[in-house]
Amino acid sequence: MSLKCLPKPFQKWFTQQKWQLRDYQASMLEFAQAKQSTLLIAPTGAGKTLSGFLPSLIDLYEHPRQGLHTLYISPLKALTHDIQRNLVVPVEEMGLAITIETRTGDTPAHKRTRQRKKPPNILLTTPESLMLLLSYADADKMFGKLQTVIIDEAHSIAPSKRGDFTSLALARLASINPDFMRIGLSATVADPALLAAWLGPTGTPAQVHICEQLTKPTVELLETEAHIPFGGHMATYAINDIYDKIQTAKTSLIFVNTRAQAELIFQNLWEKNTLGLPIAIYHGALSREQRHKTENMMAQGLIRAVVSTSALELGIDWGNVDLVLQVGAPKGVSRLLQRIGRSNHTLDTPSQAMLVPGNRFEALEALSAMHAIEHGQMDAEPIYPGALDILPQFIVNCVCAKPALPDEIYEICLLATPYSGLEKEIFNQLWQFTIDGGYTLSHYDRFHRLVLNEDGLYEPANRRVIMRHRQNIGVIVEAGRLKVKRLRRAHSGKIVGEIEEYFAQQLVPGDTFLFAGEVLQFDGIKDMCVEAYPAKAKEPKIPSFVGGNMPLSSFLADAVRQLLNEPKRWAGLPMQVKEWLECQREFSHIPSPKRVMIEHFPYRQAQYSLIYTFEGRSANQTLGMLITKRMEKLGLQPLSFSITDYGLSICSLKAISEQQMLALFHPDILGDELEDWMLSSPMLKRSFRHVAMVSGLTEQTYHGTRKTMKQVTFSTDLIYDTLREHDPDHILLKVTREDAERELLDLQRLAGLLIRYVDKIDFVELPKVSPMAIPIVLNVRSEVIKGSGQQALLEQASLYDEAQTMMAEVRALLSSE
Amino acid sequence: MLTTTQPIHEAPSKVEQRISTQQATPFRFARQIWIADASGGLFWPKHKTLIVSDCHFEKGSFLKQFANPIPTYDTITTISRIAELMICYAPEHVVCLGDSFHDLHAGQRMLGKDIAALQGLIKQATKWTWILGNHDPEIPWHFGGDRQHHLVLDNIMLAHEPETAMGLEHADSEFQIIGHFHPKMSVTIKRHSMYGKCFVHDDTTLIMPGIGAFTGGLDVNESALDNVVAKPARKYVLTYQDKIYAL
Repeated sequence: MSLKCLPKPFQKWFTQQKWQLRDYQASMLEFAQAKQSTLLIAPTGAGKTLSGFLPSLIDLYEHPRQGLHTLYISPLKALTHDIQRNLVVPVEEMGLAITIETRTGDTPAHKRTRQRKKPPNILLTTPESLMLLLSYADADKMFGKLQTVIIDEAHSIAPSKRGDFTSLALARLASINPDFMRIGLSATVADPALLAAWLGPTGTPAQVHICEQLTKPTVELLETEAHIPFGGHMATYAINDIYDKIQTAKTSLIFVNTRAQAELIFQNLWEKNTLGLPIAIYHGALSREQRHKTENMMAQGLIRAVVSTSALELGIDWGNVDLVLQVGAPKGVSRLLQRIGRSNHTLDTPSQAMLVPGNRFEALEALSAMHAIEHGQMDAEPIYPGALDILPQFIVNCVCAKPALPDEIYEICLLATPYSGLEKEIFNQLWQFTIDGGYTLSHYDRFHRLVLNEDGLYEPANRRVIMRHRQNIGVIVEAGRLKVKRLRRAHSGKIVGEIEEYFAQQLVPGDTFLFAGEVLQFDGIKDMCVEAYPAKAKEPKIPSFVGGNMPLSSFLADAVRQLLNEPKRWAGLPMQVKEWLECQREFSHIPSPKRVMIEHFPYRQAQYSLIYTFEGRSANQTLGMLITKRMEKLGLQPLSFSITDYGLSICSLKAISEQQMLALFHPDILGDELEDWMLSSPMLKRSFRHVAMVSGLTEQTYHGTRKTMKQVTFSTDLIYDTLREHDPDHILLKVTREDAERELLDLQRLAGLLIRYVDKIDFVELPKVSPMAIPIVLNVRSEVIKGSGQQALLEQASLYDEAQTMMAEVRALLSSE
Repeated sequence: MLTTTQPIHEAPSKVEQRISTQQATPFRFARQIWIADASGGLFWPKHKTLIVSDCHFEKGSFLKQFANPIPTYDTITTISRIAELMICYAPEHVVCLGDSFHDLHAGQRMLGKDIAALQGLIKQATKWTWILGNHDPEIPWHFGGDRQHHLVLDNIMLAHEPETAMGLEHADSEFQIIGHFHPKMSVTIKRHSMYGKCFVHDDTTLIMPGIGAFTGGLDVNESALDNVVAKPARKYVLTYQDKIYAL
């Protein structure tokens, strides 16, 4: 495609860079001429971001103006900084008179005020900062002449609550000015039409433009002499091999799945680092300064390898990465592709990637993912109807900008595709909740969030409502965090990052833990800071904090089951893994397709039942709740269950016979008390905690306002319990159930599943844990069953006999009158 | 006045039943026997006295003033808990161990039916004592009952916050029962851990859990408790899932 369709300065700049105008970039220019909203799907490294901005740059060059022209929305704060670098430089080199600024939570206050008075031509922002801008009275003026909205990494935002949130922000923009064009930039997705519908307003999906990937990435399983462990996810066994790979590449990116894993791999690498290679660590808990430092060194090519969590997965252009190592299970094909795409940021050379499974089961997952990439298969992420807990927040946001009637705001909600099916009745209940909490029993209530003004419109009751709302915008609920101060001497030192509060609370002075690549010794908590000295010890005593677990896609779970049943493909697995499967076949069985295998064995002072469903996490979650409920009834004393990506592991005090198990795994477990059991489950309470914060019932704790908020930080579980008892039809309980269904499988589908498996159960009783079960029983995350099992444990531990001997005395005292 | 409609000899059977189902448990402290109830109340059989601590009535409506649309069912939930305890233990004397009301304006915010319910309970007991706490230096005028900084029965002092050893001597008591801290604890048995409100005591001091529906808790390992109950001598009574266990 010739550069001739570009204005002169653009032609010149492209020629200087020795760049061609790619076909799809030219197409994007044409679509922009026609003001046609477009979803551009292109692999990473295709110049996607530039093609999104190019139409705006040309329009601004040809028709210079004051005020906001283009809004760029990115899911990451860091990304907006990066794009500024990559956008500001070309604009300066072309000598264009276009103003470009970023606005995120990090933008200083004076700059924010100025931005509202005199907005730049192009504003780079996050969904949360956009929503905040929309809460000001001058939003109409600021966004009145908006031409284009660019949404980057649309595939990552859309299928989440943040996607619903962004969609509402776009609807609000459309209510101010319906004519702006929407451009979505996305990596390859399984179902582009869904994403296009999300991008456009209700009923008017954006058109889809796909730029085909020219090359397939080269993905290999790491070959190793080391012993691949049965359980655990850390993959430290492969440190030597990983270090060797780093040496062969110019720059490697080492992706891991959790922050704890990042710390551990990083520390292990440095122990092996006899050559003193510059190896860095990058994750979301590190301080901003430290992350910026790594980013800059990386951009200058000063670093040989970075160990990173998903924090580096999106967007940021790392230039010359030539090898990606995925350490630990890939979890999903799309995610893996996204990570692999971080290497070789050009279109025509294939990316190089190496998979390092953390345990033997993960090796199956890795091979299955490679198979899927080879055959161009993707895992589809479902898009749910819009989450309801965001609506009270959105309602307050709208009335903060200008007083309104409920109907106006309802109409705006309907413009957002995820909310196109929102029922008026539900909206009204959420509206009432926004006003006064909507409680049926407290007929008298003086504390309203919204009040009617003289014009008959609703407005915030006072300044405090507005302030609180603005401080709490967003849908990301994080565990409370504490800053980590690395001490040089008493109470003085540098902040190196943040850790979860619950992790800090379990530390006692003297405990050592891994953070920011070194072992720190906990000293105490002071002024909301965890104070710790660098420790001499090499081995941390306390395993590192969790942070950032991710679920396996159900597509990949299926693929693993398929692999299990095609033994001829086992040849692609490391020898040890193959032997492990053969061992499983001998000791127990390999789960066969269209049947459910259940293993039962004693383990660690309890009984374990492993149910291999391969039906994905949500099905397993629901199944776990149902089966344990029935077990509770039968007196089998279930203690906990844990969901894995492949099945379900239930731990109970009593052994289960084949007959009992068949009765448990039966469609009639969908009985009456089910609802009540579900409602009191820890999972629903977790959902409620989230819903309570997003809907504005309670708020997240902020370090600044911590002291006054301490009173609020009692557990939302207590609120949940009183609400269930006194107001069981309350809208927030409905919202909570719906929210939990994103995690749970709906019961109808589950019933179908149970019926399908009647008489198709292979029950295997074993003297001890089977090879295949090892990785699963080692999984630490479990759902606790609050019931007879735990009571039995406590009774065993309690001084029951002593209490019995006291009974006579008690009796005497009570009848002494 | 406790005009018992049921014969008094029936009362023990209710208590015994509760103990047999692990909803209450007897334990020893200060050379006496006590009954701790799973709902957080403490019964003193010798004096037919029921002690509850940290009701924090109207905490929900207090928070609601700051634009959190929090439900305000906490007061009635807490009152019902005390009512149930009174039915079971038929106490002659009820002692609220301080922080009964979340703040000084709690009485003005309280719903009429909740006020009536609480007044009913006070009438039902022969004697009712409000120990004053840091949250409630005054008790709303609607309510009868004595107001005291502390109370000494036998050689045991009932107060909201701990007295120093000096203070104890002054008050001529050897032991104390206090509230204020809302202790919580977790127990791990066979790799399963359970977390709940608890009673914690050493040889001289017993701390009660908070009974209020919206009272959170302070972990017993927090340093704030170090000087109140001596760690080596500590004993715990844990409430968990409507049951209670002396550990």
